[in-house]
Amino acid sequence: MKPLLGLLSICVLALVFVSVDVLDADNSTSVSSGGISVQQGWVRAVPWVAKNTAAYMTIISSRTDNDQLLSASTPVAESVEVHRIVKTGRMMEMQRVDDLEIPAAGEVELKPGGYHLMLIGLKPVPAEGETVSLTLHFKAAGAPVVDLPVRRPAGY
Amino acid sequence: MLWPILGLLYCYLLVGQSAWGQQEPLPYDQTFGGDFALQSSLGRTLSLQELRGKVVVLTFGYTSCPDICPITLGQLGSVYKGLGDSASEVQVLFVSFDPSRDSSEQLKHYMDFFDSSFIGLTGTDEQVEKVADQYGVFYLRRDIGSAAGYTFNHTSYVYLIDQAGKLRTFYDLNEGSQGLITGVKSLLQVGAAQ
Repeated sequence: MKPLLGLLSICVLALVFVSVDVLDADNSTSVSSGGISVQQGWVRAVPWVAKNTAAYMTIISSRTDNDQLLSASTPVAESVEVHRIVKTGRMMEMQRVDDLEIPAAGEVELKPGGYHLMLIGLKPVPAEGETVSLTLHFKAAGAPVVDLPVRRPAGY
Repeated sequence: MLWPILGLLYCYLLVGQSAWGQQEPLPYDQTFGGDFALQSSLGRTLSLQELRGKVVVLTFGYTSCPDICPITLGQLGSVYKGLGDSASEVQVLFVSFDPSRDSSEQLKHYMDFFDSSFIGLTGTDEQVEKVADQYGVFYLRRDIGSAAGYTFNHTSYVYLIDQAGKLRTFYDLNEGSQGLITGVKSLLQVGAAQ
């Protein structure tokens, strides 16, 4: 009976360690500031001749009041803007968003085909596997810096 | 008592076979399509006619596009690689409707990132507009006050052209790539049987 219990304990411990590893991987870009946390961020790997790319992430608020993402900046791009893709009929339309509302106790997902941070004027284009440091300027929550991995999305 | 059950089983198998065993042939698009010739990332003019015998997967966009166009090309890269040996019978074309920023060389380097076999095409504004009209593609240059300069509102469909240069159908890859994969394989099967 004892060897069986020992084996079970090892399995349970192994599961715990695996789970922690997975959580770490998922939250590798996690950063918190003033009740705002940023998770699962990444930057799209693009060809070296590309002028722009996009950054994606989930912004989660535990604040009791609404906040706004006013701007963002990174050393790898001349400027950063919040954009969103809207499908109107058959057309995909890119719109510039001045202040991105972050609802109290809510979250905003920046994802392909939706809201995204457009990194404009890349200098130079960050390569796949590199990390991009991005400063997010919130109206109330301060200016957290988040390090985002550059990668190709699954499937390509 | 056994016969009705066996009869039902037979009907089930019959219906099942026609639904799963055979693919419906792809329809022909009666409205759009047709030949064209544009400046290519190969450094010369390329015409659709030169690609007879190949399945052509055609899409439109511009390389300054940070979100939709690289997503589409990434999906096409994935579909293309998934075809294995049959990929050599398929040609992916990307027409840029932004000739003033997308030179042939720019397009070549941009295509290489997704697959070195992909060919980028562009031309004068008028030439590109004509091809877009042929395929029912809409694009509209806009100034949204971005540091990136002008952008385009555009449709983002992927067009499937058969080995005879006829447009068969088009796909919205926002809904996934499976329809395109099935369409390409269906054309490759027909091509192999001829």
